[in-house]
Amino acid sequence: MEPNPADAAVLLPPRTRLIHIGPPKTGTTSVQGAFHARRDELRAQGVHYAGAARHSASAVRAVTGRPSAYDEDVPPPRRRWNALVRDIRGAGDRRVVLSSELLADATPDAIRAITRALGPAPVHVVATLRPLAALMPSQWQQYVQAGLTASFDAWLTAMLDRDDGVPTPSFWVRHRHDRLVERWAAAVGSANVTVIARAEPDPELVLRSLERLTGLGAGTLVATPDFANRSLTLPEAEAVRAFNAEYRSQRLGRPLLNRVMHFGACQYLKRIEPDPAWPRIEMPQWALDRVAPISREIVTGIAGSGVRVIGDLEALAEVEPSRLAGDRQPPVDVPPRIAARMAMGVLVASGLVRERSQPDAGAAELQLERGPTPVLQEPYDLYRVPTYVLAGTIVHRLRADAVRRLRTLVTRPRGRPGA
Amino acid sequence: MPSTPDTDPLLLPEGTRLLHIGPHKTGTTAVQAALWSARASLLEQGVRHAGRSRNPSNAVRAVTEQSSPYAEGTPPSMRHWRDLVREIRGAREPRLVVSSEFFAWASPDVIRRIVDELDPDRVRIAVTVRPLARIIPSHWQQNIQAGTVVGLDAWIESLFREPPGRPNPRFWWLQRHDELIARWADVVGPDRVTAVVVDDRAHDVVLRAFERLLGLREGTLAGVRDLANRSLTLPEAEAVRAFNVRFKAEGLPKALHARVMRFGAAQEMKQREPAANEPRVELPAQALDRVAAAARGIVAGIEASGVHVIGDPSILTEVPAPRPDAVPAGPVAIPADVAAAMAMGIVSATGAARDASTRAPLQFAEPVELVRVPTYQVIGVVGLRAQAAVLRGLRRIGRFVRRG
Repeated sequence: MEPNPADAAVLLPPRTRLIHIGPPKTGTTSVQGAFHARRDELRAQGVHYAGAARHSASAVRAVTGRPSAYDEDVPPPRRRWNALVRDIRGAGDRRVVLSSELLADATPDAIRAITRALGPAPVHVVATLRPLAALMPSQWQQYVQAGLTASFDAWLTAMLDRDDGVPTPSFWVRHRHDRLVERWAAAVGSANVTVIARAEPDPELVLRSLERLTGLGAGTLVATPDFANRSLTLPEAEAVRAFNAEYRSQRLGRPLLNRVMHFGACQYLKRIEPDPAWPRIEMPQWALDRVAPISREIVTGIAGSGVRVIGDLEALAEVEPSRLAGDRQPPVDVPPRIAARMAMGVLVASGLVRERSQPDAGAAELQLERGPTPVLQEPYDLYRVPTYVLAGTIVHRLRADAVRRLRTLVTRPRGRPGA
Repeated sequence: MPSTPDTDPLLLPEGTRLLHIGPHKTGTTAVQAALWSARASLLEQGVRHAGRSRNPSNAVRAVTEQSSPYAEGTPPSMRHWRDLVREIRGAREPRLVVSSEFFAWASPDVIRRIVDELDPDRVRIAVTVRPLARIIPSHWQQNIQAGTVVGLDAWIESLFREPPGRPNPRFWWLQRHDELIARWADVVGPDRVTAVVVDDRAHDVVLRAFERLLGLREGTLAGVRDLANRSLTLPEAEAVRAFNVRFKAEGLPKALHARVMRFGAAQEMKQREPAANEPRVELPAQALDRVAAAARGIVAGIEASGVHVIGDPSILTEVPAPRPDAVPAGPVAIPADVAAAMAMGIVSATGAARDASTRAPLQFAEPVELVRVPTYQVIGVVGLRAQAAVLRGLRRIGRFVRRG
């Protein structure tokens, strides 16, 4: 029988604070969703999942000094991080899991601050890694969702031919995985770092390994379906990118872009199953040729670092030939449905829709796409919505409702002038 | 030899109230814009352009009982029409012109009412008529901007559906130009109706005709460049149509569509300069024969009616030659910048862009994830989270007590 690669995961000592540092685009959302959905089970088995939300993003942004997604240039207040540290200390002798892909962006100083804050309990770092050749398309479309205007080809050239950090300085910080592992190993010791490496996303391997590391019964963690976390297809990404360019030319600032596009239209686009005919984002051969030696360096670096490896480290250096005919992405036209969904997503994100909506049979499609909602548990969709936004929404709706009722009471129906 | 205004046989008598009744898609906006921007010069030459805007659409919608795009089923208040009538009756200039394509909607009863209120002796009618082969694509993309979801081919099918049980009566009410002319000629008399043939190759012809009817110096009316009045290209129209499908599925009201698409994103899309090779909306080859036949019927009707005709009515029957490189049937590909312009237009139309450019804090808006979640469920989730927070606090106190 083939040995289960997760068997390499060895139970960590009690009290261990396990920090899952991502990096981004390696299935972190699914890990976080699995832990968050099973908080009660975890407690019964002596494990605490840090924080109150699926992902304690603002706490990590506060300690790593990275601006919040909703504000320009300002990291969230430090007390967010302090509260998370208190929550982790409160777990006492239980093992604690903290998962955030934003930790992959942490500087050595921030890493020291984080590991010191979590001690003197033992700290163990887990990095989930995938091949660079697979991550690059995924990471590019993620940057596009966040406002990037460079085409995939131009971005690849910038990342692989120039090394000046423009236009996405975070890319190599996160994805020179050998250096990422080295930075954290320098703070906690290489014996306290585990790498989970695999060619495919393979959430089962990751979840089974994390269960073994933390002493959870096999099967405690279940991958949660997350419709809103798929990658955009090429025509979707190109439509969003064209929007970003148009938006930039109007100089309206990032908070609105984040609302209407990143957290608005992109979320709306992604909750609908893409047509299989829409082309995916493919690495061109020239880029794969550049990526191959870098991936080899990454594998060699990690192999020599003395960290623990689960899965198949060699898989990170495998580069399959490109599926593209030429050296560039084919010119892309946008199917009307994508254009329509993007515009509709913007409209939904503007907040004008809710009060006016009376969905007919056609809207049932949207309901089906969301998947079943578990009983007595949050719908998966809401994991990413902070509580204050939920509360704000309730207040907003009740107020709008009250205003509507008052209006119908005080106004008589009458012909009203048009525009 | 060009005749001077005073001797021009086309010149309408003093005291005339000229109603330009459209119909839609016959270049009415160009005529209205030219009249509006030359208002001062018109007054100097003894012509009043009536109405408080270039097209007094609220007044004419009120009297023809056409609902405003913002309020389903409710025409604007009749106060607008009474204001317009008062202005027309009070005018002292020798001649007066009012232009609105919404007059074309009028039923015979309404026509009689309009003419009676404006004095049957003084009313003259101008109708702009344009080749059906041009009207149909233009009318379709206008319907798309107004929210319909029917594709061009299917829509044309509906125009010619046999037997003529319900062959799109709204379209033919406006665009059977011979019948439109007959409805008005029956009330005012054919010699008081002038049909002006619109030639897309020579836009000035229409303006020259209005100058002659009103006794204006040649060149008083000038073409006003107006990007916002161009037709949508085929990819633009198809993008909007797909949006309409989505909008309908979401069960959103027409007034919101008018705000964000018709008078929002569609306007913004028209500010975009389409590429020269971007396909335009054109008649499909299989429709050309039927369109030509219908146009021949229209021309015969106009010629038999005895109304004045300015221009060459034979161009009304022209249809484009079938093109071998016509756009193939099937879904139309949208250039990414069309999709971007449409979404950006929505941003502007919602008012969000205005807030952002003033750097005011963004107004609260629900995240996309919540829009379809009923309020009781949101309250439930907040309850669950609050319960978890309380339990966490209790546990912390418990640990503290045990330690102490």
